[in-house]
Amino acid sequence: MAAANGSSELYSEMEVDAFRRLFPLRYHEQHLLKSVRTDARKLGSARDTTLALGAVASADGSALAKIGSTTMLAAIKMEVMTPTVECPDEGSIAIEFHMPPICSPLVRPGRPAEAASVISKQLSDTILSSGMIDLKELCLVGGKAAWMAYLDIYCLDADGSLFDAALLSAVAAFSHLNIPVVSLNEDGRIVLVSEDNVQLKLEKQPVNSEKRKLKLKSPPFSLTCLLHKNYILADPTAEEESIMETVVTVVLDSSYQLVSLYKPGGPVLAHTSVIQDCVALARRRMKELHSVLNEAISDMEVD
Amino acid sequence: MASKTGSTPATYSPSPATHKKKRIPIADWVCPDNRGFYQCRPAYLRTGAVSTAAGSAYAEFGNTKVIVSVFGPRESKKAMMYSDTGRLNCDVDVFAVVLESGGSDLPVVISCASLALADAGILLYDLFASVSVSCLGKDLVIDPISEEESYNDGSLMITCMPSRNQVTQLIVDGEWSTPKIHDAMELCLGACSKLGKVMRSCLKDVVTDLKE
Repeated sequence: MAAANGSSELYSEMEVDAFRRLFPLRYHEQHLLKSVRTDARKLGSARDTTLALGAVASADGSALAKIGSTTMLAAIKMEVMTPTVECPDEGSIAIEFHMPPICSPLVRPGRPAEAASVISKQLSDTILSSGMIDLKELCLVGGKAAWMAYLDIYCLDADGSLFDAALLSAVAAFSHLNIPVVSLNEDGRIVLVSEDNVQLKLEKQPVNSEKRKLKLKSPPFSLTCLLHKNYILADPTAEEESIMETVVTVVLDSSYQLVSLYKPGGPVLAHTSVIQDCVALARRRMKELHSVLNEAISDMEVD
Repeated sequence: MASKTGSTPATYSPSPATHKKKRIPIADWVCPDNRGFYQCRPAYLRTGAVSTAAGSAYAEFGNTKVIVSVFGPRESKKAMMYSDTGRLNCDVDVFAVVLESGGSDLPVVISCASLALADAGILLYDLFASVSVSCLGKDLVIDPISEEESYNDGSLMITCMPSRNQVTQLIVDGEWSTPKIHDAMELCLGACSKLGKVMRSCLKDVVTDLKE
């Protein structure tokens, strides 16, 4: 359908907009025929990604990640817990993903979005199974005290690829995390060491007075792809996700190992070749994200 | 910003007793960021922070960071009764998230909401600006940070429409004497009109950027 008349530009613009609203699938397919997407991206390329570390000054570690318009804010607060009997020298991580009503017109207050609990669980599984963090590093006093890291991720703008942005912000927040220096006081409680009181440091803690950083081995990065007929669209926007339902998420770590593959149903079947193509796109994306993360970390160190 | 789920073990924060409200003599109080008592924090305001919302704004006043988004007008679920004349019921939803709480949160949320509503194109009588004042002993501190708020004897918050010179909201709590309230209100109204000008210029900049 073409606005073939010579009437004013405003009229033809409204026709395009109306067509987009009334026949979204055909509108997108017309673009796919020319191997391009509605925002002029190539099929396999992702949107511009930015990372800012230390967005929340009151948290022990935080990061703001933006993929296109999708914005995620991750923040980590460290608290002290008693480790379990089975793993007396390991700490723990509690990950939660929130979608407050500001992020999208589809989220209503009082009714949490369906996507929120799904992504929360997905993130939890991915981060813990990727082995990025050694829980033994979170130990304070074996058997008595260990760190519990509460990671909260808030979606501020939901424009597709929520899991990718959330994972990126989580990894960035962990790389920004500064573990506070603490010591054991007489009552057996762990307290923060502040500048004006001198207390005995724990024997297990390193003797430096600097705040510690976590060692992250092989952070995971992900790419979500949409499958539609024979096309594979990388990094979909919310509009694309709402009309084409089949989604595949590939998570790779920095040594190109596959951490997880997630395909939750959908009308399009994923043959081996399709999966291989998705993994190849994810490899390329992993390199991009890794360099974005490294750049953000080095920018922080310069400051 | 941490949340505790029920299934995880009990934890405590290692920060030392957070509320030993040590009463430092107020006469010696110096604002940690070297502001004068009657000086507000520098404000950073930006509209269009959330792409999925009809209108949105982001505000940063010192360490207080707030995002507000506005959805609407959209269909209201309220009136379901039969009517023989046509009726269109609409709701406008305004949602706010405080990303970091550095003191004086509610006034910042209100001013930010005003910008977000303007960004959404909702018809307004006027923009509204909001400022709060804390009473620390004999002194009045405008736009207090969280530390100042925790030591205050009383606080007063005003929301007003600067161009119309009308007060839409006034919240007072704590200990106040009448002359003190007068002084505090005048301080706030002065600050509100300045904030109103800053908000207006923020909105104008968006339009001039679009034109370029």
